[in-house]
Amino acid sequence: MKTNKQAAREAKQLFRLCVSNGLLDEGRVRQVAEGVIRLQYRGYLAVLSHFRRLVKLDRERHTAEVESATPLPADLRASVQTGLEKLYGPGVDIQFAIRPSLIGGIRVKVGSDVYDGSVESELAALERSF
Amino acid sequence: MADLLQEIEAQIAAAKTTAGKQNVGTIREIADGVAKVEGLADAMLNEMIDLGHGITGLALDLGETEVGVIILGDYTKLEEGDEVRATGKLLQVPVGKGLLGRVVNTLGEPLDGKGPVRSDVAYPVEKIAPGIIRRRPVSQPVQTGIMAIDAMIPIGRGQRQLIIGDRSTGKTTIGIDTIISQARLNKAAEAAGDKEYRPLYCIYVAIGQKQSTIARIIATLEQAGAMPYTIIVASPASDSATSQYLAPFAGTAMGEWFMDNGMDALIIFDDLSKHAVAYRQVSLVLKRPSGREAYPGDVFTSTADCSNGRHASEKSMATVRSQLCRSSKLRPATSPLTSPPTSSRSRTGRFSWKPTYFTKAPAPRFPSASPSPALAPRHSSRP
Repeated sequence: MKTNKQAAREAKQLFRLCVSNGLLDEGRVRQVAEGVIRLQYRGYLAVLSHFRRLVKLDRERHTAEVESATPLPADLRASVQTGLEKLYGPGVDIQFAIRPSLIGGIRVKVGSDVYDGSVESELAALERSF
Repeated sequence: MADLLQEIEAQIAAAKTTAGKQNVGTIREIADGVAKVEGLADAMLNEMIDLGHGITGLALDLGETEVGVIILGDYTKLEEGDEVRATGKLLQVPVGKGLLGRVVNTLGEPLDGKGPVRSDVAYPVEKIAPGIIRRRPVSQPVQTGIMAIDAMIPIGRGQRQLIIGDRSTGKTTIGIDTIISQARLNKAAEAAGDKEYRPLYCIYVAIGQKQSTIARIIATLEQAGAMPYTIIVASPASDSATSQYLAPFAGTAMGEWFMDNGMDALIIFDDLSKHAVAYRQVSLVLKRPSGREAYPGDVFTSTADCSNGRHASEKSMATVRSQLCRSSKLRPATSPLTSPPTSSRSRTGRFSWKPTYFTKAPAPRFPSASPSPALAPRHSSRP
């Protein structure tokens, strides 16, 4: 559904209602979504799709994907967690995953920030520099 | 053998990588040579973005949720969902004397099949122009080789000059004649061993022209022996609008290297009308507000930026194609494309080429005390 500027503006206002203390409140998001669907006013689909996009982007900004080649031991996990919470605040949702192609090291992606300490990326960088 | 080992060790030591923070995004939409990228939260304006497949882009539009990236290269290889990386660098082109005699594209890549371009230095394409204090007054002439110009309306080193006229009136020829004439002077000074003479190197930027036209120009210059003193930056009409938009800036960066190293350069933009059209296309795809005839509001500053006195000892000539005046009565005599800001023109206040499209109107009446024919009136009142 194509969104126009008016729908984008309304969706942004609704999105701001759901944010409290800088964090997105899931309960409020559900309330807003259900309310809009129930009302079904003119152009509500465009507003809803843009609202969904804003929520998705916010979720991505506050989700950390930690990828490693082998499962991480518990103390390393804890230290990664504390480090990320210090950088991005308490609201960050950390997900651990295994990716053997990294060969070694870990790769952390939070929103659009990527901290890549994996062996695979270092090899790729060396390849580029030669 | 030991040297080789040492060199390899030095290279390995220099190639250490650190796991720093990178800025990534995903392509949400790609169309018309522009990619809309979600993410890239810390992108800077005009930053180079690595789009994968060896293609780079320029971040021109910093929106709230996404970044508009114009693509320099083959955009058919990119797909929605591709991950892109910010490089943290501004767009740079290779500069230096190794470019003389070569034909390159907007990014400095060779087009003439003579091997890679030998260059150690790269200059950024966008730079802040030096201020007034750093500039010297215009004192040395540039010989165009055309007696009428050199005698009556001479052009100097460090000046900007506009060449304006309808199609097929000889605008490009004036530029090429100047290049050939300067090459002859350079050669004569070299042969005579003249130490005082500063050679003038020429940069010819072809924007939006036919490739056959550019090839013909190269052949002419080669025949006249002018190529060793010339750089040709070619962005023909088949290139993307982005390349055509950036070509003058790349040429200017090359000229600035000459200026920064105590040499003189002449840069010829042919022509800026097509550059304005390319910039219009890029602006409209980025959904920027448009003005008259759909040109963006900052088309003048973009035109002025390329030829702006970023070159104190550099001279630039710009050709602009005017449109026949009879199409609109209300349009002023200088069409919107043809009046770059006049503030930094020749400081002696000499008039540049006045538009000569009063051919359809009756002959304008000169005031009786008019000192020179160059003072043609700027506005023609319709009969």
